[in-house]
Amino acid sequence: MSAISQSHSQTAGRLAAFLARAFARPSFVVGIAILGLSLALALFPQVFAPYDPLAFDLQAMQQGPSLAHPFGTDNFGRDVLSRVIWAYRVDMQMAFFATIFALLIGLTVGAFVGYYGGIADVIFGRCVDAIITFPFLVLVIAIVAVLGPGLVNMYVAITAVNWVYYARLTRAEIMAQKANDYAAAGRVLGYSDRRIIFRHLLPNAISPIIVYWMTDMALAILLGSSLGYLGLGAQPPAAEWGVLIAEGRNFLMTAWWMSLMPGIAIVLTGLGFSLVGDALADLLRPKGR
Amino acid sequence: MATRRKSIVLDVKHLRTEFGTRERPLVAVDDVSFQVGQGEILGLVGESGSGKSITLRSILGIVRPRGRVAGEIRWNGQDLVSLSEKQLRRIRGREIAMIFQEPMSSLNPLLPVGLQISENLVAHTDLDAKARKARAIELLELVGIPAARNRLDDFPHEFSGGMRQRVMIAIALASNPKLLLADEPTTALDVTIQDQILRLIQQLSRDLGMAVILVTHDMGVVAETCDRVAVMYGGRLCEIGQTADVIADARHPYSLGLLRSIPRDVAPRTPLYSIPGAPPALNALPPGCAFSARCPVAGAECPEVRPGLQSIGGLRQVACHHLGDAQAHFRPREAAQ
Repeated sequence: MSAISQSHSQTAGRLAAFLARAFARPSFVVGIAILGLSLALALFPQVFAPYDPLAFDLQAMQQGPSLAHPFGTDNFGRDVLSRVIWAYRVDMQMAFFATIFALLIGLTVGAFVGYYGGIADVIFGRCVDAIITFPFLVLVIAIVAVLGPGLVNMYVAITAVNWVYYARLTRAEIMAQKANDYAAAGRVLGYSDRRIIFRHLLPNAISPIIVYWMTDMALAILLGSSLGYLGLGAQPPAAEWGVLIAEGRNFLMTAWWMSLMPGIAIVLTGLGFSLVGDALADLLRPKGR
Repeated sequence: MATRRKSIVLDVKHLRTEFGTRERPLVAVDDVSFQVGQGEILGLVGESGSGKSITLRSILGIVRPRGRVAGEIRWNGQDLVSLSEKQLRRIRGREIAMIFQEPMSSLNPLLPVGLQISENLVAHTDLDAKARKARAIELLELVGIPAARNRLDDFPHEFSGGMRQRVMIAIALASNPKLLLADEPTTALDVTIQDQILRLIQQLSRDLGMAVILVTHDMGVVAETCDRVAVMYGGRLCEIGQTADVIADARHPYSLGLLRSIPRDVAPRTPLYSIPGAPPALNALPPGCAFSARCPVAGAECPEVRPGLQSIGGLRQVACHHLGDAQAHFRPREAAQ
């Protein structure tokens, strides 16, 4: 009993030490602060947003930033700040859902292909070639165009292309780990292939994949808002940064805040993901053991 | 030394392991036969690339699927060569265990050692969590890790090289294997630690009645540890016999050369003897004796006609056409030293 609690306290101690090292990095602190705030805004927009994001106010159309409307109002008199805040909900969702399935599929496929090699690897290689031959955005747009616009179809389209990048990375990492004796040791101990792959190889291979995932979430927001801008992602009147920028593009000269404010939100959130990803890359890098 | 032979646990007959295409195979192990008795330590000696590690890996079938194994490996009445991967998995780690050369990389760096031991127990025994923990502590104590109870939660990088090799042995012993395959277990360790690990293996083999096949390139290790020794060259056996006999009275030119290259009672700055030439590549093995290109007493027939293993009394077997010449070539110089 005491040994079990001791084991827990040791694990907790290691976690605490890791967090201490993480929070000693300014880039990690800034990144985590941005992401924490973004997450709070995404989870509870109704708490933070001063107005209803969809409520027209025809008395206050296209007003510049003021105390009543810090980010100004749009061409229907909707409060831009409230719309940017409500858009966090959609855009943070995009960061997650556009990447998580690609991550899971890529991890599984890449792990098996990297471990077994042979004919599966050859077939996989050709599939990868076929997919990465197309420019990423063009392929995604083509798939969305076939499926029809909308958030869910956008996730499907992005996942269909994006998993390849995770699978490629995982495959390479697993192949490198496989060369270590502990993989052979697992085999001579009579462990199943699945156990060796998922319990021994993958945990040792996962750090660069996690780091890539962080950066990819930033890219997913950019991609999602690009598609929103093009009218292929989130649909108006829903608030989404790409949609907001698109709505403001006709009024750039007269009401620049309509496009600028959601643009700043995109940059800031992307920066948060990048900073955290960058810090994790340093923190998770294997030290000279 | 008395020739007491216990019951045979592993009987390898005409083992052949090849890689590459079927049309032009690279034969890494060719027609190797040997037996291991219960509780016996058999040394497998040879240079790098002589096929000794591949022989070990063939026994457990982990050269597959890239390598093809032929011949017969009798273990408890079963032929391991004919077993499927799934059937082999029940023998690996449970009846036959293996340890590797590099203790630095043969443990999973992300799992505490206690978990790595109990993982083997989960795979091969019915013990519950509490019993597994007790057994893990017992095993770590058995291999001589001080304060074993406190080290279960430590990660591999918190152990020194020698201690890691002990942990590896503890993991291998978890399910009471009858045979331990040790692939150069001390090569990566410094000499004092090497000695401790060899003694540990010896003692475990004696106490647990466990047979051991010890692969090494170090004749000193063999002399110190093994009951019998088999000398390999170019994927084939040259000589096999009781360790004391082989070391005192080697017959094959290659064994003689190996023994000669150990410096004994020489003055400082005496150049060390080395066998001239380098081992042949797998794709350039002669049809006859693999050692013929480097052999000082090779005749015209040696590269053409393969010498078979012949019994030369007792349990000694040697594969050479020119036993007499070899004796004559190496003896006088041995005497001169």
